[in-house]
Amino acid sequence: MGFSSLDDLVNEVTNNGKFNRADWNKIWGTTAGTAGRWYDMSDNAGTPVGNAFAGTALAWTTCNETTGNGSQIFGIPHGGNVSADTKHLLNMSAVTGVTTGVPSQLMLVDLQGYWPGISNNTTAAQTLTGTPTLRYANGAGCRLFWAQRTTAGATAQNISISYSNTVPTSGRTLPVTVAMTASAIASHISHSGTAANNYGPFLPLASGDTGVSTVASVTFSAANTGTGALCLARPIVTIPLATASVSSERDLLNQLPSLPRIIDGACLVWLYFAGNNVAANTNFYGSLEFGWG
Amino acid sequence: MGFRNVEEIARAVDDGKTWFSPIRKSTVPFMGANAWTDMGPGVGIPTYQAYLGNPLQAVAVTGGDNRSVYLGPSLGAGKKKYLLNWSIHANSGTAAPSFWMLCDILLYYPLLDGTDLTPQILNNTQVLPRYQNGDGVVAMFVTQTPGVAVRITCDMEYTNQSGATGITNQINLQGASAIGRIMTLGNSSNTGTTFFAPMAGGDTGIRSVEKVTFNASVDGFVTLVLIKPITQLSFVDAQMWHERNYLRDNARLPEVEQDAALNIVFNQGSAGSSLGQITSLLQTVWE
Repeated sequence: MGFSSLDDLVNEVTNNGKFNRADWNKIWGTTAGTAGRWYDMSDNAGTPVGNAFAGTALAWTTCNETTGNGSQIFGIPHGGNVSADTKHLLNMSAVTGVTTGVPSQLMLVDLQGYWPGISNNTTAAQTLTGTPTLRYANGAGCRLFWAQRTTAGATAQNISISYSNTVPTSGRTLPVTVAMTASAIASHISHSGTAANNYGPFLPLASGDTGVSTVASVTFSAANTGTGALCLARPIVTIPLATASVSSERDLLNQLPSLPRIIDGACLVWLYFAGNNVAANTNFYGSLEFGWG
Repeated sequence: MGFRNVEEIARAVDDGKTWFSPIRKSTVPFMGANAWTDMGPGVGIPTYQAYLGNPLQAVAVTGGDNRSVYLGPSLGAGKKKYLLNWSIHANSGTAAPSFWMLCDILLYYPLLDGTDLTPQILNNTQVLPRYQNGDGVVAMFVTQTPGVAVRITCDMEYTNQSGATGITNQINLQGASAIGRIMTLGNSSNTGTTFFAPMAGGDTGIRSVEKVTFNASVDGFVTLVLIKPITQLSFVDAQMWHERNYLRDNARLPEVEQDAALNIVFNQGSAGSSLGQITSLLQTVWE
Protein backbone atom coordinates (compact mmCIF):
# COMPACT_ATOMS: atom_id res chain seq x y z
CA MET A 1 0.00 0.00 0.00
CA GLY A 2 1.37 3.43 0.85
CA PHE A 3 0.32 6.63 -0.86
CA SER A 4 -0.10 6.65 -4.61
CA SER A 5 -0.24 10.44 -4.88
CA LEU A 6 -0.40 13.61 -2.83
CA ASP A 7 -4.15 13.53 -3.32
CA ASP A 8 -4.21 10.02 -1.92
CA LEU A 9 -2.26 11.16 1.13
CA VAL A 10 -4.63 14.07 1.70
CA ASN A 11 -7.60 11.75 1.37
CA GLU A 12 -6.25 9.13 3.74
CA VAL A 13 -5.11 11.42 6.57
CA THR A 14 -7.92 13.97 6.47
CA ASN A 15 -10.94 12.25 4.94
CA ASN A 16 -10.29 8.77 6.26
CA GLY A 17 -8.73 9.86 9.53
CA LYS A 18 -5.69 7.61 9.19
CA PHE A 19 -3.50 9.81 11.31
CA ASN A 20 -1.82 9.86 14.68
CA ARG A 21 0.14 12.51 16.51
CA ALA A 22 2.50 11.76 19.39
CA ASP A 23 3.82 14.50 21.68
CA TRP A 24 6.83 13.26 23.60
CA ASN A 25 9.25 14.65 26.15
CA LYS A 26 12.40 13.27 27.71
CA ILE A 27 14.36 14.47 30.71
CA TRP A 28 18.11 13.87 30.75
CA GLY A 29 19.37 11.93 33.74
CA THR A 30 21.12 13.28 36.78
CA THR A 31 24.61 13.03 35.30
CA ALA A 32 25.81 15.40 32.61
CA GLY A 33 26.57 14.11 29.16
CA THR A 34 29.83 14.59 27.30
CA ALA A 35 30.26 16.23 23.93
CA GLY A 36 31.02 13.86 21.10
CA ARG A 37 29.22 10.88 22.54
CA TRP A 38 26.00 9.10 21.64
CA TYR A 39 23.42 8.27 24.27
CA ASP A 40 20.36 6.05 24.40
CA MET A 41 17.44 8.21 25.53
CA SER A 42 15.03 5.30 25.92
CA ASP A 43 15.82 5.10 29.61
CA ASN A 44 15.16 8.81 30.24
CA ALA A 45 12.06 9.69 32.24
CA GLY A 46 9.20 11.54 30.64
CA THR A 47 6.54 10.68 28.11
CA PRO A 48 6.72 7.85 27.26
CA VAL A 49 8.15 6.37 30.45
CA GLY A 50 11.77 5.30 30.67
CA ASN A 51 13.09 1.90 29.68
CA ALA A 52 14.51 0.06 32.69
CA PHE A 53 15.81 -2.72 30.43
CA ALA A 54 13.75 -5.39 32.14
CA GLY A 55 14.54 -8.95 31.25
CA THR A 56 16.70 -11.95 32.04
CA ALA A 57 20.43 -11.34 31.85
CA LEU A 58 21.91 -12.38 28.50
CA ALA A 59 18.49 -13.41 27.15
CA TRP A 60 16.83 -11.71 24.18
CA THR A 61 14.02 -9.35 25.19
CA THR A 62 11.68 -8.29 22.40
CA CYS A 63 10.43 -4.71 22.35
CA ASN A 64 7.33 -3.42 20.61
CA GLU A 65 4.89 -0.53 20.64
CA THR A 66 2.10 -1.97 22.73
CA THR A 67 3.92 -4.03 25.35
CA GLY A 68 7.33 -2.39 25.44
CA ASN A 69 9.76 -4.86 26.99
CA GLY A 70 6.98 -6.58 28.88
CA SER A 71 7.46 -4.37 31.92
CA GLN A 72 7.79 -0.79 30.66
CA ILE A 73 5.89 0.49 27.62
CA PHE A 74 8.57 2.95 26.67
CA GLY A 75 8.32 3.38 22.91
CA ILE A 76 6.70 6.48 21.43
CA PRO A 77 3.17 5.38 20.46
CA HIS A 78 2.29 5.69 16.80
CA GLY A 79 -1.27 4.49 16.47
CA GLY A 80 -1.14 0.73 16.59
CA ASN A 81 -1.04 -1.81 13.79
CA VAL A 82 -2.47 -0.71 10.46
CA SER A 83 -1.83 -3.65 8.16
CA ALA A 84 -2.77 -4.01 5.25
CA ASP A 85 -2.08 -0.26 5.08
CA THR A 86 1.46 0.95 5.61
CA LYS A 87 2.26 3.67 8.11
CA HIS A 88 4.66 6.51 7.40
CA LEU A 89 6.23 9.34 9.31
CA LEU A 90 4.90 12.62 7.89
CA ASN A 91 6.72 15.20 9.96
CA MET A 92 8.63 15.59 13.19
CA SER A 93 9.81 18.28 15.57
CA ALA A 94 12.19 18.51 18.50
CA VAL A 95 13.37 21.24 20.84
CA THR A 96 15.26 21.81 24.04
CA GLY A 97 15.24 24.98 26.08
CA VAL A 98 18.67 24.40 27.59
CA THR A 99 21.73 25.75 25.83
CA THR A 100 23.88 22.73 26.64
CA GLY A 101 21.39 20.53 24.80
CA VAL A 102 22.54 21.99 21.50
CA PRO A 103 24.01 21.52 19.01
CA SER A 104 23.00 17.90 18.82
CA GLN A 105 21.42 15.23 16.66
CA LEU A 106 18.48 13.03 17.49
CA MET A 107 18.12 9.72 15.70
CA LEU A 108 14.80 7.91 15.74
CA VAL A 109 15.24 4.14 15.78
CA ASP A 110 12.99 1.10 15.97
CA LEU A 111 14.39 -0.84 18.90
CA GLN A 112 13.83 -4.48 18.01
CA GLY A 113 15.00 -5.66 21.39
CA TYR A 114 18.06 -6.19 23.51
CA TRP A 115 20.11 -8.60 25.56
CA PRO A 116 20.28 -7.10 29.07
CA GLY A 117 22.53 -7.71 32.01
CA ILE A 118 25.78 -8.25 30.11
CA SER A 119 28.74 -7.77 32.41
CA ASN A 120 31.71 -5.54 31.66
CA ASN A 121 33.56 -7.42 34.40
CA THR A 122 34.80 -10.53 32.61
CA THR A 123 37.00 -11.50 29.70
CA ALA A 124 35.13 -14.74 29.16
CA ALA A 125 32.86 -14.92 26.14
CA GLN A 126 29.30 -14.27 27.32
CA THR A 127 26.85 -16.39 25.40
CA LEU A 128 23.65 -14.62 24.47
CA THR A 129 20.45 -16.62 24.31
CA GLY A 130 17.13 -16.35 22.58
CA THR A 131 16.16 -15.81 18.97
CA PRO A 132 15.32 -12.24 18.08
CA THR A 133 11.82 -11.59 16.77
CA LEU A 134 12.58 -9.21 13.93
CA ARG A 135 10.27 -6.77 12.19
CA TYR A 136 12.76 -6.50 9.32
CA ALA A 137 13.43 -9.66 7.34
CA ASN A 138 16.65 -11.27 8.60
CA GLY A 139 17.62 -8.06 10.30
CA ALA A 140 17.99 -6.01 7.15
CA GLY A 141 19.30 -2.59 8.10
CA CYS A 142 19.38 -3.48 11.78
CA ARG A 143 22.35 -2.30 13.80
CA LEU A 144 23.82 -3.03 17.21
CA PHE A 145 24.66 -0.63 20.00
CA TRP A 146 25.75 -1.09 23.59
CA ALA A 147 23.75 0.84 26.16
CA GLN A 148 25.65 1.16 29.43
CA ARG A 149 23.28 0.42 32.30
CA THR A 150 25.45 0.84 35.37
CA THR A 151 28.45 3.13 35.43
CA ALA A 152 31.52 1.44 34.07
CA GLY A 153 34.78 1.35 35.92
CA ALA A 154 38.00 3.05 34.90
CA THR A 155 39.64 0.07 33.16
CA ALA A 156 40.07 0.34 29.43
CA GLN A 157 38.51 -2.48 27.44
CA ASN A 158 37.61 -3.36 23.89
CA ILE A 159 34.42 -5.13 22.82
CA SER A 160 34.14 -8.03 20.40
CA ILE A 161 31.03 -9.79 19.27
CA SER A 162 30.08 -12.81 17.22
CA TYR A 163 26.96 -12.15 15.22
CA SER A 164 24.92 -13.42 12.29
CA ASN A 165 24.30 -11.17 9.31
CA THR A 166 21.21 -11.03 7.08
CA VAL A 167 22.05 -14.07 4.91
CA PRO A 168 22.20 -15.35 7.65
CA THR A 169 25.85 -16.29 8.11
CA SER A 170 26.98 -16.81 11.68
CA GLY A 171 30.34 -16.10 13.22
CA ARG A 172 30.66 -12.61 11.83
CA THR A 173 32.93 -10.30 13.81
CA LEU A 174 33.65 -6.61 14.07
CA PRO A 175 36.08 -5.52 11.36
CA VAL A 176 38.02 -3.18 13.63
CA THR A 177 39.08 -2.79 17.23
CA VAL A 178 36.27 -1.10 19.11
CA ALA A 179 37.08 0.56 22.42
CA MET A 180 34.62 1.12 25.22
CA THR A 181 34.75 4.31 27.25
CA ALA A 182 36.09 4.03 30.77
CA SER A 183 33.75 5.32 33.46
CA ALA A 184 30.88 5.46 31.00
CA ILE A 185 27.64 6.60 32.60
CA ALA A 186 24.30 4.87 32.25
CA SER A 187 22.66 5.44 28.87
CA HIS A 188 26.00 6.19 27.21
CA ILE A 189 26.53 4.17 24.06
CA SER A 190 29.92 3.58 25.45
CA HIS A 191 31.74 2.51 22.28
CA SER A 192 30.97 6.00 20.91
CA GLY A 193 32.95 9.11 21.61
CA THR A 194 36.00 11.04 20.46
CA ALA A 195 38.69 8.67 21.71
CA ALA A 196 40.68 6.33 19.55
CA ASN A 197 38.73 3.29 18.32
CA ASN A 198 35.40 4.76 19.36
CA TYR A 199 32.56 4.13 16.89
CA GLY A 200 29.03 5.35 17.17
CA PRO A 201 26.19 5.19 17.36
CA PHE A 202 26.40 1.62 16.08
CA LEU A 203 28.99 -1.10 16.20
CA PRO A 204 30.70 -1.45 12.82
CA LEU A 205 29.77 -4.44 10.69
CA ALA A 206 31.98 -6.84 8.79
CA SER A 207 32.68 -6.13 5.16
CA GLY A 208 29.60 -6.63 2.97
CA ASP A 209 27.16 -6.98 5.84
CA THR A 210 24.02 -4.84 5.77
CA GLY A 211 22.39 -5.89 8.98
CA VAL A 212 22.34 -8.12 12.02
CA SER A 213 19.90 -10.96 12.64
CA THR A 214 21.23 -12.20 15.95
CA VAL A 215 24.26 -12.17 18.23
CA ALA A 216 25.90 -15.25 19.68
CA SER A 217 28.36 -13.80 22.15
CA VAL A 218 30.03 -10.71 23.59
CA THR A 219 33.63 -10.64 24.76
CA PHE A 220 35.66 -7.91 26.46
CA SER A 221 39.44 -7.62 26.27
CA ALA A 222 39.75 -6.70 29.94
CA ALA A 223 37.55 -6.92 33.01
CA ASN A 224 35.91 -3.70 34.14
CA THR A 225 33.00 -3.07 36.47
CA GLY A 226 29.56 -2.24 35.15
CA THR A 227 26.79 -3.84 33.14
CA GLY A 228 25.04 -3.02 29.92
CA ALA A 229 22.63 -4.15 27.27
CA LEU A 230 23.36 -4.98 23.67
CA CYS A 231 20.56 -3.46 21.61
CA LEU A 232 19.39 -4.23 18.09
CA ALA A 233 17.72 -1.34 16.28
CA ARG A 234 16.79 -0.13 12.84
CA PRO A 235 17.58 3.56 12.26
CA ILE A 236 14.72 5.55 10.72
CA VAL A 237 15.44 9.27 10.55
CA THR A 238 17.53 11.99 12.16
CA ILE A 239 16.83 15.57 13.15
CA PRO A 240 19.38 18.15 14.30
CA LEU A 241 18.89 20.53 17.20
CA ALA A 242 20.71 23.74 16.38
CA THR A 243 19.55 26.42 18.81
CA ALA A 244 18.05 26.28 22.28
CA SER A 245 14.33 27.00 22.37
CA VAL A 246 14.07 26.88 18.59
CA SER A 247 12.18 23.86 17.39
CA SER A 248 13.78 21.83 14.66
CA GLU A 249 11.30 20.41 12.23
CA ARG A 250 11.29 17.94 9.38
CA ASP A 251 8.60 17.74 6.74
CA LEU A 252 9.21 14.29 5.33
CA LEU A 253 7.04 14.81 2.28
CA ASN A 254 8.10 18.12 0.81
CA GLN A 255 11.34 18.99 2.60
CA LEU A 256 13.01 15.59 2.71
CA PRO A 257 10.80 13.40 0.52
CA SER A 258 11.09 10.03 2.14
CA LEU A 259 8.00 9.28 4.24
CA PRO A 260 9.92 6.68 6.29
CA ARG A 261 7.88 3.61 6.92
CA ILE A 262 6.95 2.75 10.49
CA ILE A 263 6.49 -0.99 10.70
CA ASP A 264 3.60 -2.39 12.74
CA GLY A 265 4.80 -2.85 16.29
CA ALA A 266 7.79 -0.55 15.95
CA CYS A 267 9.25 0.46 19.31
CA LEU A 268 10.32 4.03 18.62
CA VAL A 269 13.07 5.52 20.78
CA TRP A 270 15.62 8.30 20.41
CA LEU A 271 19.38 8.10 20.29
CA TYR A 272 21.12 11.39 21.02
CA PHE A 273 24.44 12.72 19.77
CA ALA A 274 25.79 15.33 22.17
CA GLY A 275 27.47 18.25 20.49
CA ASN A 276 27.86 19.87 23.89
CA ASN A 277 28.24 18.76 27.50
CA VAL A 278 24.57 18.20 28.24
CA ALA A 279 23.53 19.46 31.66
CA ALA A 280 21.77 17.10 34.03
CA ASN A 281 17.99 17.20 33.92
CA THR A 282 17.84 18.91 30.55
CA ASN A 283 14.42 18.56 29.02
CA PHE A 284 13.65 17.71 25.43
CA TYR A 285 10.29 17.88 23.76
CA GLY A 286 8.94 17.06 20.35
CA SER A 287 6.22 15.62 18.20
CA LEU A 288 5.85 12.96 15.55
CA GLU A 289 2.95 12.80 13.11
CA PHE A 290 2.08 9.61 11.31
CA GLY A 291 -0.25 8.79 8.44
CA TRP A 292 -1.16 5.51 6.81
CA GLY A 293 -2.84 4.27 3.71
CA MET B 1 -15.83 13.76 5.49
CA GLY B 2 -12.65 15.64 4.72
CA PHE B 3 -10.59 16.68 1.73
CA ARG B 4 -9.92 13.96 -0.78
CA ASN B 5 -7.29 15.83 -2.74
CA VAL B 6 -5.41 19.10 -3.10
CA GLU B 7 -7.95 20.45 -5.62
CA GLU B 8 -10.73 20.23 -3.03
CA ILE B 9 -8.68 22.28 -0.59
CA ALA B 10 -8.01 24.96 -3.19
CA ARG B 11 -11.64 25.00 -4.31
CA ALA B 12 -12.85 25.35 -0.72
CA VAL B 13 -10.76 28.49 -0.32
CA ASP B 14 -12.05 29.87 -3.63
CA ASP B 15 -15.63 29.13 -2.58
CA GLY B 16 -15.18 31.11 0.61
CA LYS B 17 -15.13 28.11 2.92
CA THR B 18 -12.33 29.65 4.88
CA TRP B 19 -11.94 31.97 7.83
CA PHE B 20 -9.19 34.19 9.21
CA SER B 21 -9.09 34.31 13.01
CA PRO B 22 -6.92 36.74 14.93
CA ILE B 23 -5.30 36.14 18.27
CA ARG B 24 -3.94 39.11 20.16
CA LYS B 25 -2.56 39.43 23.65
CA SER B 26 -1.44 42.82 24.84
CA THR B 27 0.43 41.48 27.81
CA VAL B 28 1.91 38.09 28.46
CA PRO B 29 3.84 37.51 31.68
CA PHE B 30 7.46 36.52 31.55
CA MET B 31 8.10 33.41 33.61
CA GLY B 32 11.81 33.10 33.05
CA ALA B 33 13.93 31.35 30.49
CA ASN B 34 12.89 27.82 29.62
CA ALA B 35 9.61 28.08 31.51
CA TRP B 36 6.30 27.16 29.89
CA THR B 37 3.55 29.74 30.10
CA ASP B 38 -0.17 29.59 29.50
CA MET B 39 -1.23 32.56 27.38
CA GLY B 40 -4.81 32.17 28.60
CA PRO B 41 -4.42 34.57 31.51
CA GLY B 42 -3.56 37.47 29.28
CA VAL B 43 -5.64 40.40 28.08
CA GLY B 44 -6.91 40.27 24.50
CA ILE B 45 -8.32 37.67 22.11
CA PRO B 46 -9.22 35.13 23.33
CA THR B 47 -10.50 36.89 26.42
CA TYR B 48 -8.72 36.48 29.72
CA GLN B 49 -9.01 32.89 30.89
CA ALA B 50 -9.29 32.99 34.68
CA TYR B 51 -10.33 29.34 34.91
CA LEU B 52 -13.42 30.25 36.87
CA GLY B 53 -15.67 27.69 38.43
CA ASN B 54 -16.48 25.82 41.60
CA PRO B 55 -13.45 24.38 43.34
CA LEU B 56 -12.46 20.95 42.02
CA GLN B 57 -15.47 20.74 39.72
CA ALA B 58 -14.72 20.03 36.09
CA VAL B 59 -15.61 22.78 33.63
CA ALA B 60 -15.91 21.78 30.00
CA VAL B 61 -14.70 24.51 27.66
CA THR B 62 -16.43 25.32 24.42
CA GLY B 63 -15.15 27.95 22.04
CA GLY B 64 -16.71 29.15 18.85
CA ASP B 65 -17.69 32.64 19.94
CA ASN B 66 -15.93 35.94 20.29
CA ARG B 67 -14.85 35.27 23.85
CA SER B 68 -12.70 32.53 22.42
CA VAL B 69 -11.05 32.46 19.03
CA TYR B 70 -13.87 32.51 16.53
CA LEU B 71 -13.06 30.02 13.77
CA GLY B 72 -15.86 30.65 11.35
CA PRO B 73 -19.40 29.36 11.11
CA SER B 74 -20.49 26.07 12.58
CA LEU B 75 -20.52 23.27 10.08
CA GLY B 76 -23.15 20.69 9.32
CA ALA B 77 -23.02 17.17 10.63
CA GLY B 78 -20.06 15.17 9.37
CA LYS B 79 -18.17 18.17 8.05
CA LYS B 80 -14.74 19.01 9.38
CA LYS B 81 -12.64 22.12 9.71
CA TYR B 82 -8.89 22.21 9.26
CA LEU B 83 -6.04 24.59 9.94
CA LEU B 84 -4.51 25.78 6.67
CA ASN B 85 -2.15 28.52 7.83
CA TRP B 86 -0.81 29.86 11.12
CA SER B 87 1.37 32.91 11.62
CA ILE B 88 2.72 34.50 14.78
CA HIS B 89 4.43 37.72 15.81
CA ALA B 90 5.74 39.18 19.06
CA ASN B 91 6.95 42.75 19.22
CA SER B 92 9.49 42.44 22.02
CA GLY B 93 13.12 42.35 21.07
CA THR B 94 13.65 39.51 23.53
CA ALA B 95 10.78 37.37 22.27
CA ALA B 96 13.11 35.11 20.32
CA PRO B 97 13.81 32.35 20.57
CA SER B 98 10.56 30.91 21.83
CA PHE B 99 8.45 27.87 21.06
CA TRP B 100 4.67 28.12 20.70
CA MET B 101 2.11 25.33 20.94
CA LEU B 102 -1.47 25.77 19.71
CA CYS B 103 -3.85 23.77 21.88
CA ASP B 104 -7.53 23.10 22.27
CA ILE B 105 -8.51 23.74 25.90
CA LEU B 106 -10.96 20.98 26.66
CA LEU B 107 -11.70 20.99 30.36
CA TYR B 108 -10.27 22.28 33.61
CA TYR B 109 -10.53 21.65 37.33
CA PRO B 110 -10.24 25.03 39.04
CA LEU B 111 -9.08 26.07 42.47
CA LEU B 112 -7.07 23.09 43.62
CA ASP B 113 -5.89 24.23 47.03
CA GLY B 114 -2.12 24.44 47.01
CA THR B 115 -1.98 24.22 50.81
CA ASP B 116 -4.21 21.14 51.14
CA LEU B 117 -2.11 17.99 51.46
CA THR B 118 -5.07 15.64 51.66
CA PRO B 119 -6.49 13.99 48.51
CA GLN B 120 -8.57 16.50 46.59
CA ILE B 121 -11.42 14.63 44.96
CA LEU B 122 -12.40 16.09 41.62
CA ASN B 123 -15.98 16.30 40.37
CA ASN B 124 -16.39 14.87 36.87
CA THR B 125 -20.04 15.67 36.23
CA GLN B 126 -18.84 17.42 33.11
CA VAL B 127 -16.72 15.40 30.71
CA LEU B 128 -14.41 16.12 27.81
CA PRO B 129 -16.46 18.00 25.20
CA ARG B 130 -14.13 16.93 22.38
CA TYR B 131 -11.70 14.03 21.93
CA GLN B 132 -13.97 12.29 24.38
CA ASN B 133 -12.04 9.09 24.74
CA GLY B 134 -9.05 11.15 25.88
CA ASP B 135 -6.60 9.90 23.29
CA GLY B 136 -3.91 12.54 22.82
CA VAL B 137 -5.29 14.63 25.69
CA VAL B 138 -2.67 15.76 28.20
CA ALA B 139 -2.77 17.51 31.56
CA MET B 140 -1.03 20.67 32.68
CA PHE B 141 -0.98 22.30 36.10
CA VAL B 142 -1.29 26.08 35.92
CA THR B 143 -0.81 28.65 38.68
CA GLN B 144 -4.26 30.15 39.19
CA THR B 145 -3.49 32.42 42.14
CA PRO B 146 0.00 33.35 43.36
CA GLY B 147 1.88 30.60 45.15
CA VAL B 148 5.45 30.19 46.25
CA ALA B 149 8.44 29.13 44.22
CA VAL B 150 9.05 25.68 45.65
CA ARG B 151 9.44 22.31 44.00
CA ILE B 152 7.04 19.64 45.14
CA THR B 153 5.48 16.42 43.97
CA CYS B 154 1.84 15.56 43.59
CA ASP B 155 -0.01 12.34 42.91
CA MET B 156 -2.51 12.46 40.09
CA GLU B 157 -5.09 9.68 39.74
CA TYR B 158 -6.76 9.51 36.35
CA THR B 159 -8.67 7.52 33.77
CA ASN B 160 -6.78 6.85 30.58
CA GLN B 161 -7.81 6.78 26.94
CA SER B 162 -9.01 3.19 27.19
CA GLY B 163 -11.24 3.88 30.17
CA ALA B 164 -8.94 2.22 32.69
CA THR B 165 -9.49 3.93 36.04
CA GLY B 166 -7.40 4.44 39.15
CA ILE B 167 -4.10 5.05 37.37
CA THR B 168 -1.78 7.04 39.59
CA ASN B 169 1.33 8.88 38.52
CA GLN B 170 3.57 11.16 40.52
CA ILE B 171 4.09 14.59 38.98
CA ASN B 172 6.88 17.04 39.79
CA LEU B 173 5.70 20.65 40.06
CA GLN B 174 7.35 24.05 40.33
CA GLY B 175 5.31 26.49 42.42
CA ALA B 176 5.18 30.06 41.23
CA SER B 177 3.87 33.45 42.15
CA ALA B 178 3.05 34.39 38.57
CA ILE B 179 -0.42 33.50 37.33
CA GLY B 180 -0.30 31.45 34.18
CA ARG B 181 2.94 29.66 34.94
CA ILE B 182 2.75 26.02 33.84
CA MET B 183 4.05 24.20 36.84
CA THR B 184 4.85 20.76 35.49
CA LEU B 185 8.46 19.64 35.76
CA GLY B 186 10.12 16.67 34.16
CA ASN B 187 11.73 15.70 37.44
CA SER B 188 12.49 17.30 40.78
CA SER B 189 15.75 18.74 39.52
CA ASN B 190 14.60 19.74 36.06
CA THR B 191 16.14 22.92 34.81
CA GLY B 192 12.93 23.81 33.02
CA THR B 193 9.31 22.89 32.83
CA THR B 194 7.65 20.50 30.45
CA PHE B 195 4.15 21.66 29.74
CA PHE B 196 2.31 18.38 30.11
CA ALA B 197 2.36 15.89 32.94
CA PRO B 198 3.88 12.49 32.27
CA MET B 199 1.55 9.53 32.19
CA ALA B 200 1.90 5.91 33.18
CA GLY B 201 3.56 3.58 30.72
CA GLY B 202 1.44 2.74 27.70
CA ASP B 203 -1.06 5.55 28.21
CA THR B 204 -1.63 7.88 25.30
CA GLY B 205 -4.12 10.24 26.85
CA ILE B 206 -6.26 11.25 29.79
CA ARG B 207 -10.04 10.98 29.80
CA SER B 208 -10.57 12.45 33.26
CA VAL B 209 -8.74 13.11 36.51
CA GLU B 210 -10.26 11.77 39.69
CA LYS B 211 -7.91 12.89 42.43
CA VAL B 212 -4.92 15.12 43.08
CA THR B 213 -2.80 14.99 46.22
CA PHE B 214 -0.10 17.60 46.77
CA ASN B 215 2.76 16.17 48.82
CA ALA B 216 3.89 19.59 50.00
CA SER B 217 2.41 23.07 49.94
CA VAL B 218 2.85 25.50 47.05
CA ASP B 219 0.39 28.01 48.53
CA GLY B 220 -2.20 29.67 46.35
CA PHE B 221 -4.55 27.84 44.03
CA VAL B 222 -3.80 25.68 41.03
CA THR B 223 -5.84 24.78 37.97
CA LEU B 224 -5.51 21.40 36.34
CA VAL B 225 -6.22 21.80 32.63
CA LEU B 226 -6.79 19.05 30.06
CA ILE B 227 -5.69 20.09 26.57
CA LYS B 228 -5.21 18.61 23.13
CA PRO B 229 -2.00 19.80 21.44
CA ILE B 230 -2.71 20.64 17.80
CA THR B 231 0.44 22.07 16.30
CA GLN B 232 3.61 23.98 17.11
CA LEU B 233 5.66 26.84 15.71
CA SER B 234 9.01 28.32 16.63
CA PHE B 235 9.65 32.02 16.98
CA VAL B 236 13.24 32.51 15.97
CA ASP B 237 13.66 36.12 14.95
CA ALA B 238 12.35 38.94 17.11
CA GLN B 239 9.75 41.20 15.57
CA MET B 240 9.41 39.09 12.43
CA TRP B 241 6.32 37.21 11.29
CA HIS B 242 6.68 33.46 11.38
CA GLU B 243 4.36 31.44 9.18
CA ARG B 244 3.35 27.85 8.48
CA ASN B 245 1.28 26.51 5.59
CA TYR B 246 0.18 23.08 6.70
CA LEU B 247 -0.37 21.56 3.29
CA ARG B 248 3.04 22.52 1.98
CA ASP B 249 5.07 22.50 5.17
CA ASN B 250 3.55 19.67 7.20
CA ALA B 251 2.05 17.29 4.64
CA ARG B 252 -1.15 17.41 6.67
CA LEU B 253 -3.84 19.89 7.70
CA PRO B 254 -4.48 19.63 11.46
CA GLU B 255 -8.15 19.12 12.23
CA VAL B 256 -9.80 21.73 14.43
CA GLU B 257 -12.83 20.33 16.18
CA GLN B 258 -16.19 22.06 16.12
CA ASP B 259 -16.31 24.52 19.03
CA ALA B 260 -12.60 24.20 19.72
CA ALA B 261 -11.37 26.59 22.43
CA LEU B 262 -7.96 27.49 21.13
CA ASN B 263 -5.15 28.78 23.29
CA ILE B 264 -1.40 29.05 23.05
CA VAL B 265 1.17 27.80 25.51
CA PHE B 266 4.73 28.82 24.93
CA ASN B 267 8.26 28.29 26.14
CA GLN B 268 10.45 31.35 26.18
CA GLY B 269 14.09 30.60 25.73
CA SER B 270 15.45 34.08 26.10
CA ALA B 271 16.63 35.32 29.46
CA GLY B 272 15.21 38.68 28.59
CA SER B 273 11.85 40.15 29.49
CA SER B 274 8.33 39.45 28.24
CA LEU B 275 7.20 38.61 24.72
CA GLY B 276 5.48 41.96 24.54
CA GLN B 277 2.36 42.19 22.42
CA ILE B 278 1.40 38.93 20.73
CA THR B 279 -0.34 38.91 17.36
CA SER B 280 -1.31 35.75 15.53
CA LEU B 281 -3.50 34.80 12.60
CA LEU B 282 -5.10 31.44 11.93
CA GLN B 283 -6.70 30.45 8.63
CA THR B 284 -9.11 27.55 8.70
CA VAL B 285 -10.72 25.80 5.75
CA TRP B 286 -13.58 23.36 5.49
CA GLU B 287 -15.28 21.24 2.86
